[in-house]
Amino acid sequence: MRLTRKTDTPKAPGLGISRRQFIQRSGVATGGVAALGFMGAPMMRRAESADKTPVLDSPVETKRTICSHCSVGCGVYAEVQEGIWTKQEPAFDHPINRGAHCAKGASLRQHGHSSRRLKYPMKLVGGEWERMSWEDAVNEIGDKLLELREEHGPDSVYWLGSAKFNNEQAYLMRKLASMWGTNNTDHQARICHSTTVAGVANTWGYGAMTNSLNDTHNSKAILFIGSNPSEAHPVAMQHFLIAKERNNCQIIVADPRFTRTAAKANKFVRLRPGSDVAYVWGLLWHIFENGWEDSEYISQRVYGMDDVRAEVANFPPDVVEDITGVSEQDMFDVAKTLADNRPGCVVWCMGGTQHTTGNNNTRAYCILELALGNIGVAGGGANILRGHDNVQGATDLGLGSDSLPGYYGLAEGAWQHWANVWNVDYEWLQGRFDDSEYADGKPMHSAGITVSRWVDGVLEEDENISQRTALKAMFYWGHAVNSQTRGVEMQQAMKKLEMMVIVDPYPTVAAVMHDRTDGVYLLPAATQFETTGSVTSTNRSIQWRDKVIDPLFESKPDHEIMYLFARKLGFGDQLVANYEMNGDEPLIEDILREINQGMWTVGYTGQSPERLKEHQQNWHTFSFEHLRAEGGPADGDYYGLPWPCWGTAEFKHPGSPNLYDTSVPVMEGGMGFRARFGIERDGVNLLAEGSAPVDGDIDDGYPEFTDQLLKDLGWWDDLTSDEKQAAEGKNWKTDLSGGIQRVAIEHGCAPYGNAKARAVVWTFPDEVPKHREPLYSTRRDLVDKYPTWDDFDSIMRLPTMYKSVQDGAPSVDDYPIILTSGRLVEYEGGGEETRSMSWLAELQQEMFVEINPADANDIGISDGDDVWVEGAEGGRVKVKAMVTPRVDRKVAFMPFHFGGMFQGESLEGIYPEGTAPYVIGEAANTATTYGYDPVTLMQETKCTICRIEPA
Amino acid sequence: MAQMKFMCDAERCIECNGCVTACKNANDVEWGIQRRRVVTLNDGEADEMSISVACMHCDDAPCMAVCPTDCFYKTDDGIVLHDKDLCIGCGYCLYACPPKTWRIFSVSAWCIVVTKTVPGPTTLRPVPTT
Repeated sequence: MRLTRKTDTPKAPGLGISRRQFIQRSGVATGGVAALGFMGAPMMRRAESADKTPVLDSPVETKRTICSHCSVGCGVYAEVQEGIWTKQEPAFDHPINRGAHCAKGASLRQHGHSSRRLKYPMKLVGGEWERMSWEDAVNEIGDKLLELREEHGPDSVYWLGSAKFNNEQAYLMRKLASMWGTNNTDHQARICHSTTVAGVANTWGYGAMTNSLNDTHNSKAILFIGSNPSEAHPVAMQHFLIAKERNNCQIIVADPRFTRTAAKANKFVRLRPGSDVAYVWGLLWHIFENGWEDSEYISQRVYGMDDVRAEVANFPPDVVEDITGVSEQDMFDVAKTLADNRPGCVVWCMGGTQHTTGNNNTRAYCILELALGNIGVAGGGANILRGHDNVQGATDLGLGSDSLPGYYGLAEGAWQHWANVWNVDYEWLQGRFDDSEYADGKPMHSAGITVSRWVDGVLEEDENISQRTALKAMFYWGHAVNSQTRGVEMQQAMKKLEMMVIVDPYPTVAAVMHDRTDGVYLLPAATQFETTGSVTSTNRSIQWRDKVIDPLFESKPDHEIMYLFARKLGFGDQLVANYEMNGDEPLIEDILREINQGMWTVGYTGQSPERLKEHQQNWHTFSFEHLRAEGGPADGDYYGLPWPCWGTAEFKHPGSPNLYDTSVPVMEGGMGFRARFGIERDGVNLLAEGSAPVDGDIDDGYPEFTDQLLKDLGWWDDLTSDEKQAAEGKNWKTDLSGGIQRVAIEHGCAPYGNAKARAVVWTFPDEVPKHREPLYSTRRDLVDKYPTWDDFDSIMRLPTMYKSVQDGAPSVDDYPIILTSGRLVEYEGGGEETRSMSWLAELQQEMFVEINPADANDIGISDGDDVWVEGAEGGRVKVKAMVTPRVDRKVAFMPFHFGGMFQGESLEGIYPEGTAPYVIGEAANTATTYGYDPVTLMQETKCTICRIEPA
Repeated sequence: MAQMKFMCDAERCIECNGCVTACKNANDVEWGIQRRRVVTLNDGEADEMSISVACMHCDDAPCMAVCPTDCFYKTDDGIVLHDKDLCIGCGYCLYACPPKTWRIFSVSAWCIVVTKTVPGPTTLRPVPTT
């Protein structure tokens, strides 16, 4: 699958500015051998040859930061001399990566050097980019925003934020949109793991990875389904391979492609794209048939498994083989392996989530683990690997259209809670919103348009949208539009907008694919290495980053830009009411303190800036095996205080390494499942039975804690008088004193209750997950048997089609090949950052499509040929053919990191001078098609149909 | 001083190119030159296997023996280096190299990445899986 060019000819002169050149050009004296301060275990050392390797002999400052290229959260030592990032060392003493890096991690220093960065504010005037000052840019954009607000209401502006923000910036962005008066804000979690968050949280309480990468050392079997960590999370593979070596852990990979992870597996199972639910039901069929389920666990901790049993009965081996393509023997072998090797965990990523049936898939994976009794145990769990470095944190902090920070939702109580924390009047906030009633209700209390659907939010007729008008202006604040489906319609939407504002360290594909001549602004944002703050890694650990260097060129940190806009738009004082200001920059630590004040639901309350910095300074004291500090200043804490870290910082909860683990006390990170769905349903008890966290005063199920429950239990007087005052009429989520949480935990009880997980989600379109054929399927015979849903009038403000698309799909004769997509190790997301870093770009220079040799022969193409890939809705991309057995017959794969070409045309000339990435290519998503999950509006990227022709 | 060697555990190598990039970062290697490269055998097939390859710093390095200008030299650590000022580009070393790393790396394969022994499997760092 590598298509690295065979010649060593540089692509263009002057590529890849070296440190030597950078230092020379920046006018800093060079020469002499530096007395480089190596970290504990130096890895890369220079030859003693001063003339070949000049370095600065000025003092070295060492900063501790975290890689921003994926959610694993690798530690990095950055060495800085006279403000220049001159060297990086992997952190050998870091508890997550132990000195390991992948290509992306090993390239971090180039963020501080890339000449392809956006350098100053610019606007497009008559098709030409013009430089402007920050002041003029904020004023011009702000005036236009105020004009749109006046004419069309606050919902006409979309505030698209980013998983590349740190926690404090993500939170501030949600606050900014809220104070502007809209829920039209979102970030990449929508198109990454929204179906996980919804599916998993609705199964057992929280929508996050249950265990940690380190904890997988205890696993005896790991099922990867729709996950390819060798390319997407390479450092995670270190932990999985440790399990394989130490425990003879059985690695099973179920995937349409033979991935680089599959190359390390004990068993590879090739799945037909879009057949995950049928596959899991096929495994459960064997598990139930042979009595391999954990009956005691199910009776104590799971609601509704009998309904699953009834559905699974419809999936005997022959039916499963027909749908998934997996033989009865392979299904049996995998089911037996999972049953014989407990504890085991399941790992999934975009391959499971990015489907119209995404919420069904994620719930099916959870149910499999529940049936095996694998949730809430070390070595078990649903280990959901997140994508961007802070996509977990940005999700937790509410940068989404359907909830305020902490998953509080959008109901009046939620707004009152946050108005209270923000120190503003609820009535003032209410007045910022459009107060009219639409199909979904009032805009303040109805979920906004999602990032996956902003294109429809622009193009749809006003009368069909559940807000006053279609979208008129878009902020693309740290977003790769080429990671979204339906590229051709996206271009039309961009053209129709009145204003586009791109805030990013790099111009991004949005800056070049719009086909406009005016009304586009580019604002340079600093990277996470040019500011400080906290970041939540995939295992819920929160890590602190030092500022490595000052913002490059004229870029500004995101939180400063947010304040500048808030001030211009008239609510600057409200936005920063609780923060100390450093000029125009709100103090990051104060934002985190405010987060600590309000995030009781998910336990982001104990992670004060002081505790996080203490962890950061003492990486070496935390165990690589279990993340717990052994001695040192943070003795007993789990690294990064993985949430929930209950109570206030003073309460000193150590964080929760493995969710739902009842074998440890709550004060040590234990808990049962969350009591989130009521106490009983149809006369059946929803609370746990005969199971509770050890050493608690209640050894059975219990509901979530409220002031009333404390009184009923006779624990009310454990509160101090101040706490009593704050707790009256409140519950564990809204008591800002933390008293209710403290008392519950001191009695060994989880504040959120102790309930059963539910295998049946009665609030979702499919209560028990069902197999449904993709909207665009090559198996029309199965469409009749397993059709999709009927069309919906409105989901999150927009009409959403299912059956009409499936019924209207073009003939399989015209589009005979399934098209799926995924990642390459060198690039991240839409790739604009990583394709602008020469060390990485050099390794992947061509956009390509993987085609099975048999299909290539049928079509008449050879490896390396140019081909057209045309999607079922007519979008076409011209790419290189990579002929490989990695994909099955009638399945093609494209990586989604490329951009800068559009349907055969190069857009390179449209980038502002000197900012085009080193490598451009067709965006895979130009050829992808319609399709959204009915719960979260996740986009379908993993299963559509296409035709491939020689170019 | 001990002889320094590279070791790559092919059971752990996932072709992430971390080693390639780390080398470029540490040594400011220009576009088009990779002193270290990951080679994958049977790409996309059931017995796919990858390994990171660079100069092996042979004890008795054949490239040193055949070089007409003696441009190679060894450091005290046993690292084989190459003086580009003396090299006349004759290419004898390419033919002499047993693992044919020169064939892979074309020009100036002098590699100055140094490894150290670490707990557990002794392998080249940084790679994600060690």
